[in-house]
Amino acid sequence: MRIEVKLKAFEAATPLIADLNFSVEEGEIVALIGPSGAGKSTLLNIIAGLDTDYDGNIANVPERPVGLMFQEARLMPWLTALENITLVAPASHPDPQSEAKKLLSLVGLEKDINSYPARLSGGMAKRLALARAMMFNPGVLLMDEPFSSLDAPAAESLRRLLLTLKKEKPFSIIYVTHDLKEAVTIADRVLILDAKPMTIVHQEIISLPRPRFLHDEAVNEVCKPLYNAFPALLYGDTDR
Amino acid sequence: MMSPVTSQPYQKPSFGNGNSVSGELNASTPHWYQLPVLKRLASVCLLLAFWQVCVVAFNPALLPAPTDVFSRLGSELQGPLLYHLGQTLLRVGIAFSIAMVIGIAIGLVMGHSKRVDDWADSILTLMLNVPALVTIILCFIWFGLNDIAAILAVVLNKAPNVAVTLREGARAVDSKLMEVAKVYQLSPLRTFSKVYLPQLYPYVIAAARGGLALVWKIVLVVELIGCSNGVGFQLSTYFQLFDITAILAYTLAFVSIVYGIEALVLRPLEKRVSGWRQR
Repeated sequence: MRIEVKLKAFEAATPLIADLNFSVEEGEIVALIGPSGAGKSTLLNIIAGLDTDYDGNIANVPERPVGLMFQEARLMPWLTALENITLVAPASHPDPQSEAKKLLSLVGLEKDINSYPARLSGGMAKRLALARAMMFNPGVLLMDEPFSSLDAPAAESLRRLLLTLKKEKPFSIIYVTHDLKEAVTIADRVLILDAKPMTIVHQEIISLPRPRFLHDEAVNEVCKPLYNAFPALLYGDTDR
Repeated sequence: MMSPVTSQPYQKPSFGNGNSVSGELNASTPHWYQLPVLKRLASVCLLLAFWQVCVVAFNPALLPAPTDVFSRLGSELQGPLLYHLGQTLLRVGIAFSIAMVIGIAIGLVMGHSKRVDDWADSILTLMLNVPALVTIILCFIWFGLNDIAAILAVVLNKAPNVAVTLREGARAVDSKLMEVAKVYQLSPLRTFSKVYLPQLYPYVIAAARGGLALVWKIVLVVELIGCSNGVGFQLSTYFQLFDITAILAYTLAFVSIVYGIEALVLRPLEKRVSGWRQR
């Protein structure tokens, strides 16, 4: 999949995104990292087709659809866990019920099959949202800081779960985060973004062996020179 | 690793009406006299007993005893009461349905389109504030003393209320959830029935409950002024005859039916569509 955004601006005078081009290979995980408010969510909305008001082109779109996992779980509160998943099954699906059940047990929610989202913890809701994204069978999954609201252990286990699910039915991931360590832990390639307008300033290929964990020394080693090279972009956030 | 949102397990109520979230739910096993149904019955019985005692004690000229009212109700049931009751309920049913459909449509359009809302808001406010009696009189003058005028008068009174409620509902529709429907390429039908409509149910139910209470009161006034049958017409006849027992007997019959609709149709419906809030 090839993404080219020549220009995206809400007001003509201040372009939000300018000349941002990158591609995602099949099965690749690309992390986008940059300061808050740079327009990363807007970029994902463009790729997902929610925002069509821009100058540019999305080419080589895979046959399978583009899924988007939002920052919040965004479950339908009036549907049970199972119904939330079967909701997104394509009309042609032969047996959405049993696939949804399979997905629920894959993400560890087999006991909560008939629970309403209000009864789920934050981590469980994210697992459910992930299972829903899997039901959609995406060729590319866009993830907008998907685990940023979770505590560290819950986020770690969800990242591992994500990689397990990816092995079951391979898909590419564009993973937006503002945490360099998280980006290095999850991605095959990290793109560092500048803001106002948003462009790619650096690309780092991560070839560390997996599994990787957030506090691995090797992850730290990769991060250190990047922090030194782009302190303004990587330290600008509140949690560092 | 992950703590559940609610620290206390939820206790599913095994009795009572859906909208009571009172302390009763925390009691482990309620005594029989704590059942809400019995409390409701008991309060009505107490009122009737008080009424009866007052009548026996003071023997007022213009207040018949409840026992007299009930026996009159029994005899009226043999007479024309059921016919007039049926006529009134028919008017209530038709006017209520039309008012709901029109009100929901107007409310949704106004809630979703700022431009329509800007144009129509002052008219809506005007309609809300025209006294029911004025609409009724004008409808009868303009369209004659017929059922179409009667129902039109009720609809004109009720539809603005429904519209205001549904406008709030449309404004409260969560655009984030609508985005989910778009990203996951849900069909328009599925988006409507599984994502959009469930967000409006509470508003529709609220409009329906408030609507029923308002519509039947207006229908009685309409019948009193310009119809030749129905409970309102009968009440005006008995008013002229100063037959207080009959007036109370008719009131009793009608209120029981409206209460029945509320308890047997609207409340269970509300419980069903808002079940997810409680489980």
